[in-house]
Amino acid sequence: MARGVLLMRPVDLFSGVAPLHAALDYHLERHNVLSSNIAHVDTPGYRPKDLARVEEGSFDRVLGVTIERTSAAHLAGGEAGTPEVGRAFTDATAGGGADGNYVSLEREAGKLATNQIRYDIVSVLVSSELRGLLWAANDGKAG
Amino acid sequence: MAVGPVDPTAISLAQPHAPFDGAAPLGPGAPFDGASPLGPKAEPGGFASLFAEAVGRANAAEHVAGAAAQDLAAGRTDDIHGTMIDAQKANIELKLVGSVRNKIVDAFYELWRMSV
Amino acid sequence: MLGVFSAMEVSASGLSAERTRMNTIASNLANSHTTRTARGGPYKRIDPVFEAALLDRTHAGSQASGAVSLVRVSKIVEDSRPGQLVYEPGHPDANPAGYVEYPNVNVVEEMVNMLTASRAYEAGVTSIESVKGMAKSAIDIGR
Repeated sequence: MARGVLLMRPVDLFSGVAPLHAALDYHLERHNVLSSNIAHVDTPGYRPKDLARVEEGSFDRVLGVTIERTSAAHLAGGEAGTPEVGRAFTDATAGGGADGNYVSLEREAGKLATNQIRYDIVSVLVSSELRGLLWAANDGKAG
Repeated sequence: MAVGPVDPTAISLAQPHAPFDGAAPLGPGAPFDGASPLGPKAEPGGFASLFAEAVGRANAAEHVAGAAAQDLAAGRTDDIHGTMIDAQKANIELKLVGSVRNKIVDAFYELWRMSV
Repeated sequence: MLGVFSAMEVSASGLSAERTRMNTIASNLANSHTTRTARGGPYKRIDPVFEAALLDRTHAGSQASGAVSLVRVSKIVEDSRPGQLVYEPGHPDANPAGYVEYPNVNVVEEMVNMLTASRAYEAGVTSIESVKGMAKSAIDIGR
């Protein structure tokens, strides 16, 4: 068993962990962006921003995640779990306040909550993936 | 877990007592080097090379995890999940080395029993 | 890098800003009948003005760093709208025509501002609690 595991190249051994790690990075960055939106609810002229996932394997991946400015309309595609939004860029037209601020507190808070749930889910997934690998590496015994 | 059949031609570990030193080869063209006390002859695909690889990876992973942990503890980084993942990877690599060592020892004893 | 602590910094800056706003509201309410200030005229209501400020950590390579900023109170402005004139000839601060100018503080307006400020404050607290939850999940990886 161990020999079989060993014959895999190291990058193959942890290949299931890498996308989960990337997802954790994405959700944490997104939390920063959403927190910033909430903090700026009273900043004149501020438009809320959001983070879109990057298409798997595309050139964008090298650059990391892209930034998406959202309107007060319904939630952006990235939030709904669709992974590819690329460089989509929607600008706010409706929902602006008298001071030019477009932040809707409820909307941002909702995004924040779902983003946190996703982070928690992925972290549990990566934990169990690693536990499985540990079990295999330990030759079928608990770590 | 049962030990699988061992391919004698793939075993190239140095034996401390060198019972095979100078004896007839174990198999056709056996590359076994029992006279070398300095360590296993790393043959590609052989247990020794796999073991060396595993040790190398475990070492590297330990370095990465140790550095990450120090950075987190010293406040040089915010990366909690990254550090935890690196720590677990190092743990896994280490356990792998242990398992491989056990397999090698098992294989040796299987051979040892065979020769007597 | 953008992580848990930068998110808390951002949220904390929002909390600070909203607290400043609460202080200005408290001042406005307390002085809603102050007809004479050190400068002479009646009290004029004050408002904080918020602006975006850069995070002072280095975020090299972080794509989202342009979308995340701290909130800062850039200045406190005085509302120059004239206050209500009330006919009170016997008042020590009455003008030659017998009218007293009261502060331009509208109590209802101030209460509404106070509600929005406290909502924004709570949203900031929620944001901090959320990232604390995420950090806990991350700590539990591999446990």
